[in-house]
Amino acid sequence: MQPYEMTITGASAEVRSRRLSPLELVDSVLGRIEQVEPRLRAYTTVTADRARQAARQAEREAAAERFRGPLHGIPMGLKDLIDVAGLPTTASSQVRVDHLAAADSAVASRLADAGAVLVGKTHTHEFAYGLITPQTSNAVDHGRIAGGSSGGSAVAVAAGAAMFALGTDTGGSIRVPAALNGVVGLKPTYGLVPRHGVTSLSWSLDHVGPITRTVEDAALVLPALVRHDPCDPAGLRAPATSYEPHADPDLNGLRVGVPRNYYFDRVDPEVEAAVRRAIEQLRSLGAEPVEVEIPMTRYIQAIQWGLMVPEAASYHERTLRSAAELYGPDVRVLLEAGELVLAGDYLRAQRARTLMREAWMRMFDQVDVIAAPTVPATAAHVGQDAVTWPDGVTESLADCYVRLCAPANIAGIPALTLPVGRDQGGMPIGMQLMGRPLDETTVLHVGHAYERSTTTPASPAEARPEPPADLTPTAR
Amino acid sequence: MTATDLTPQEAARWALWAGLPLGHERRAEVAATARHIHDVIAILRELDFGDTPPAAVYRPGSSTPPGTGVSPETGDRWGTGGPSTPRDGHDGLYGSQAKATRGREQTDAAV
Repeated sequence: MQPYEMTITGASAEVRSRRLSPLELVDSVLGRIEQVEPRLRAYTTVTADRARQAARQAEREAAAERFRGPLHGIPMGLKDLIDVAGLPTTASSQVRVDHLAAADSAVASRLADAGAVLVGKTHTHEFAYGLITPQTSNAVDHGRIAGGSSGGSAVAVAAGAAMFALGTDTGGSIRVPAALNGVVGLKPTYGLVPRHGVTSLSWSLDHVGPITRTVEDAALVLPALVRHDPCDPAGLRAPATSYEPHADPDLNGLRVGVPRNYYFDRVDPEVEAAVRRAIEQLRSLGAEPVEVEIPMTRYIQAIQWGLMVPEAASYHERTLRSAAELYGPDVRVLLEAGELVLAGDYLRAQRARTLMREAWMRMFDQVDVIAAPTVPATAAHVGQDAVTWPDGVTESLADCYVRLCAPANIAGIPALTLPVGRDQGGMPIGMQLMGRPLDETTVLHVGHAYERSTTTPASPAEARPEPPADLTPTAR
Repeated sequence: MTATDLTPQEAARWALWAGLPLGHERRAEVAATARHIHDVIAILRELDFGDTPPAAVYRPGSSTPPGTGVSPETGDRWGTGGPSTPRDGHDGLYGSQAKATRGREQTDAAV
């Protein structure tokens, strides 16, 4: 096994025992990036020199028996919405062509303090306003989309071009690409991970979280990110918590909510079958499946759009007036139309969110976690822009990928996606586990219990055949 | 006038009212997108909010003990369950909305 193929858990143990140096580890990942990046285009910038310098520092500290924790010397990527001092934060947009971050974001600073080594900035759908990430190819099948908006982060992790990466999630942007590329993604509780220094799409829905190859790895990354930041007005003062999953996968007494509505409507049969098999697996570990009725489903998309569309338009107000032509056409028109949303509609969405959050909290009186598909379908082919269901209904690809993720953003609850199988075409299928606010521990424990009970390997995705020559990435 | 009737010219006037001049070549596309967004979010006008405040300052308030998965009251590993009071049994938005959009243009506005 090459070092880049290891999990954080495994690599961390090797570094700690001095059997693997941080420089060897970083060199291995940089070598993997050189190998796969021409096909995958996961990165906007690869920071090889900076990474080797940080790795040497980590090595000196290791030689002196000074270890910063489980992320000491671990190579990682950051979605290119996340500021790192001295590097541009491009947001994968021409609008940011001259950008240079003056200071680290809170999460970049914390990861550096924890000893993690930045190997590069990863592609996003432009300003996180989309579900495709058109520059980047799916790690499993280069003819399929990466998903978005944290497509570069998910693909880098899936391909072994980073041991973990951070993404952002406004309506599924961590979970969607993680599911489509067969890796793990965690959207934490709203406000748990600080967003200071992270380019916003929609302040009241944005979350920052880790993408990893295993649930256990996600539980190692999360503690490095969690600490109240006075610069984040939405930041929570959460009690110090160890997110380390129980070694024992016993789930006796755990109540797993299985939605009887919404989450299995218009879902690919192979996706539904894989998720229901995974729920049966949780039952075999001792969990008790409990049917739940998802509340207010009629209003999910309306709340999501009613908040996100005007907030995004507000964030981009100045540049939309000074440099509109630099935005990609799909993003530009959404920002322009977003200026026409009335304040009354925005307030109505905020009030409806209050109702929906309360209804979801009541649902969690019945169950400890809710298990459901992450997305209704596996990764679409490049160029596909809609899904037609057997009942004749056609749904845009973005609507399809967002609809099962958005409730957790609106309710602000933790949501984890983990791989639970593949479809007949070999494409990964993700299951979503949602929990009570600030109960990441239970969500991670359930995910880890499933992970331990299956034999699915966590090794990086191997490349599929080359994409056709005409699949040139859209310039942004 | 309703938003469904929003014409490119009206969209341009509304945008200008918001301080955003729209060139002629932008107006039809922006009007169509604004109509679609309006159709999605206008459904919230069905709700009777009573005294419900906006979630302007969002806090993940919880009536259940967060953090460890252990109930402080009972010591149960996963907390205790109470009677559920699900709010309603509405059809999914994507049911009614998808039916309404059958055969017409789709606009991606989601992340």
